[in-house]
Amino acid sequence: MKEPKVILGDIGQSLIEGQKDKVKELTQLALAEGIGVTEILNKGLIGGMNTVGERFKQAEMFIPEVLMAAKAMAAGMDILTPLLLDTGSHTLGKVVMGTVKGDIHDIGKNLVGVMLRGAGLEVIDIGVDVPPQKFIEVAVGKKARLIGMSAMLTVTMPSMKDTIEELKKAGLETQIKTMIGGATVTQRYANEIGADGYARDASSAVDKAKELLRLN
Amino acid sequence: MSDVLQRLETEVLIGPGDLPTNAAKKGFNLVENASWWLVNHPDAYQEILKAWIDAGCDFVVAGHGSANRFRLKRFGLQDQTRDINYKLIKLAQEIVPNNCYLFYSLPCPTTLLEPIGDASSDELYQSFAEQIVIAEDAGVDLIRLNVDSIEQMEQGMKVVKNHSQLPIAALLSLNPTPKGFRTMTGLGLTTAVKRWEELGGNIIGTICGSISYEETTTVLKEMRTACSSYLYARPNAGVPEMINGKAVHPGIPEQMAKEALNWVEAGAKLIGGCCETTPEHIAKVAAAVK
Repeated sequence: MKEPKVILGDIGQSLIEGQKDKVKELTQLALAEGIGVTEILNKGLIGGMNTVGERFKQAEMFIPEVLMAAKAMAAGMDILTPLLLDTGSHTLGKVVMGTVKGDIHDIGKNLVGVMLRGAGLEVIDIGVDVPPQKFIEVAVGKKARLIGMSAMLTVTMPSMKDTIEELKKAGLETQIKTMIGGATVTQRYANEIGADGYARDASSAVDKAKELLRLN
Repeated sequence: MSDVLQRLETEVLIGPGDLPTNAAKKGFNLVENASWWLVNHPDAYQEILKAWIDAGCDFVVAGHGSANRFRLKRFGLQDQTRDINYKLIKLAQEIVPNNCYLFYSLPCPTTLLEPIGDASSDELYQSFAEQIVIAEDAGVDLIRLNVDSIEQMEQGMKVVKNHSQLPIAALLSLNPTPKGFRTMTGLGLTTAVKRWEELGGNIIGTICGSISYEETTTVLKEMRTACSSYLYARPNAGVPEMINGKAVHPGIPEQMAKEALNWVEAGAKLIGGCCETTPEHIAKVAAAVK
């Protein structure tokens, strides 16, 4: 019989290596050994994903490896999610995210989604070419407190500003925070349009989302 | 057989900027499929190409990354893959003069392959093959491949060798990272360049990505150290910044022309531009380099 600490460490390590079958197997083993669901989530899966985020930031891991790790994370989550619902635990926070109107580039947005999910947030991905009103409708409907917008093209970036202005018009800017990112997006632009946050990569996006949701 | 490789031994050849950002100035909406738009706006397409030729290009490029089965499928146009590609080449041939080469651009249809992405290595091969056969049939001087990973390079080279005699260039979209210039998939510049040469590639270079004109010089120097293939520089007009709600590309024509001299010194034999490169950029470069 393995120590709980060793099992949790192995889950993290297998996740980092993108071995989804192994993560599944070890998650089941952890449950069988009586380790708590939230502990498996936080110390095993999320712990592993944090390391992935760090390594990505340092250019020690790249997008393909990160996506493999995300698949492994999802395999573990498939087992834990029904149990988490049973125990009444809920996610840390909800984020609505999408690529803005006029833009169909989604690699960056998907990567941010993976990392946010990996950090334990609930991500409602509404796809590409999303008009300002749609971001707001979904955020209100799903009671999300954060909207994440991505754009790769400079010509589509002004749509981010439109969403923020619509949000202000609806008087929702204090309840629903906004954060933006994308290849050509900068902190300067975020300041200019009044976005609450900016992140230059998927890993920093996790820190920023947590900060805006006051989870840090 | 085209003599483009012989020309490169003694000359620097000037090429065009990109199609989508120049088509956008003529009404193309960036959420549409660029290739579909171009074949449906043949006058606009030919005007863009003519502007490059007038600016002094030694070669222009037909075809675009959006003209493959995977990208066209998003618009329900996959069954028109052959027709669209054939037209892109034929429309270009109508206006390209004898002293100007016509290259065919064959970017990777999907960024990531299985098990992460949605296409297998075999499907990638099939997609490449379909397009190479069309290009070979329609008649072009060189195949230009955009790649992010070694596997894409290998499949691309295999297809070209199996289906054509054309020379082939590979272009990498590079970004600066704490571990040097790399593609999105983490492929390092030196590894990529050496592998391409080993596979028998003729030309290697850089396209798009988040690198400035000055960083392009650094990239070319690193490539020159790693291989003896001909080098091709095709950067964006700098890394854009949004200022007062408008995208400002810092790379103005004069600056590109100035830096292009450094690219030539670093070993570049083909020079063109990517996003937001205008005919004016290319004209200034041609005047400076030639």
